[in-house]
Amino acid sequence: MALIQQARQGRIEAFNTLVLAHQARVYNLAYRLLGEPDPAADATQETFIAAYNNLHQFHEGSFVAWLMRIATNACYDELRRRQRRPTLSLDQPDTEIQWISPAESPENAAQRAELSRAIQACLDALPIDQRTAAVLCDVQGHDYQEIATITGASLGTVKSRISRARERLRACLRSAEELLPDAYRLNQKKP
Amino acid sequence: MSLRMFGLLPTDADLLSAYLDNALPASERAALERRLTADPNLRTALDELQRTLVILRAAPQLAPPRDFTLDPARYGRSPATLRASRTNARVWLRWSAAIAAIALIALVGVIVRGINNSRQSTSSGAIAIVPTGMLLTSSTTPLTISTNSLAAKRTESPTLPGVIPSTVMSPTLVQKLAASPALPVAPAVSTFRALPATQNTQPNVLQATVAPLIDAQSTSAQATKAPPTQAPLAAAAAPPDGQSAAAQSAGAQPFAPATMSSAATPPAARLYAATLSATANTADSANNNAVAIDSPLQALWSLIRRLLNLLGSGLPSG
Repeated sequence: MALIQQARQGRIEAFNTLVLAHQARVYNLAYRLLGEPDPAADATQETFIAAYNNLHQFHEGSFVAWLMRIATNACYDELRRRQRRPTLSLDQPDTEIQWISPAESPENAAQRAELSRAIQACLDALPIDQRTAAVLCDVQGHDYQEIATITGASLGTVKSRISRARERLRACLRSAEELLPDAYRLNQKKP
Repeated sequence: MSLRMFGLLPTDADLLSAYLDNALPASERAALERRLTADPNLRTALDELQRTLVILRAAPQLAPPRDFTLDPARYGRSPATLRASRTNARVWLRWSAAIAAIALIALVGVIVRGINNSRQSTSSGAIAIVPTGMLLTSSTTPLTISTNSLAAKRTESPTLPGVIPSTVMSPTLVQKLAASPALPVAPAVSTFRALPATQNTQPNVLQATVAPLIDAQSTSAQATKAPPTQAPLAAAAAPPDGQSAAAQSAGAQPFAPATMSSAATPPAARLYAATLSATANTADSANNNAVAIDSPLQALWSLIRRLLNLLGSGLPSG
């Protein structure tokens, strides 16, 4: 809260400290909701600019949840823009994805990329409200109440969305089982 | 494998999901655990759901492609200051719009007033358009004031020597002259140039106004045997050394209607013209304000008329 108070008083350095602390979480949420790295980066930047400009509106509660709400809305805006103006793929290479991980072998890095692509493909197949609930709960680890705060939905709606999303993801991942690394295949016996 | 394959209901899926999140009340949790022990399909569904969550929670975290810190040069001001500047900009925009609207209304008012004045002058005569206190000289210049058509028709006959342009007279004097049977009808002059009020005290103004009048009348004056007062009057009207005409004409004989009516000759008219011009020079100082106010309006109206004429508009001429 001290950094937030300093940022309110115009100390941009204090706000940038908050940015560095939360940018990975915001960027990963945007990437999982949008599915592409470059639009995710744009939405992340818009999130922090909007957060700085509206810092006076944050009074109490979880700053992270408030930030995630702004990020979610930025992603929804981008998805609405896509619906209005569908763009053709020009085969431009996106920003190369890099993972937050310690040094690992090339084989593990390939398995990680394969797992990430499979999960993303299944997330992309979900309705946006279920996708948001699943990413916030199962990928980012927020609890029901935080998700209700972020999405503005009731607690019962959040539970229902999470349940539906998990069921769809389970079915999707099972159908794409051959794409998953051996350690993550659903037909394996529980370790 | 869907819930139907497990023989489960959607409510079971909600229960299993909440169970894995440890979000069930104790009673419901105990009831579900009893069912899990008894129902192998429900147990299998729970296992697959749990592994799904393991996969999702193992989703690799992406490293941000760059830092998203804000540029201090651009965002260095506090959010409150930024809000205040945006608010100020909105206030300025509103005030600017209001001022622009008022200016537009004022412009429309000036145009409407000009049109009304033009119509009034068309019906009342040429003298009505002459601003009070404005000294006019005969010339063709960009800024012109045309007399109306009725006055022009009235003066289609050749201008008599010694005739005084009606535009240099005040309305009351014109009425007096009109009442005098000895004076000719005041002609309308085609064009005049409005001089700035500051030039009224220059001697060449009076010279330009009266001297041509006298030059044009020289032959007729000789024919009618002008009285001895003509010589000093001409000298006063056209000073050779460029001295102030107002100062020289200050000693001229004042206007006397009785004398005018009895003289009934062009020299009397010249006397009137010189006297009137001299009087105008001294009396215009009291009317300069009127000139200063009326001239911009007339200049604006003249400009608008020219523009409208260029566009082929059919506004009445005034």
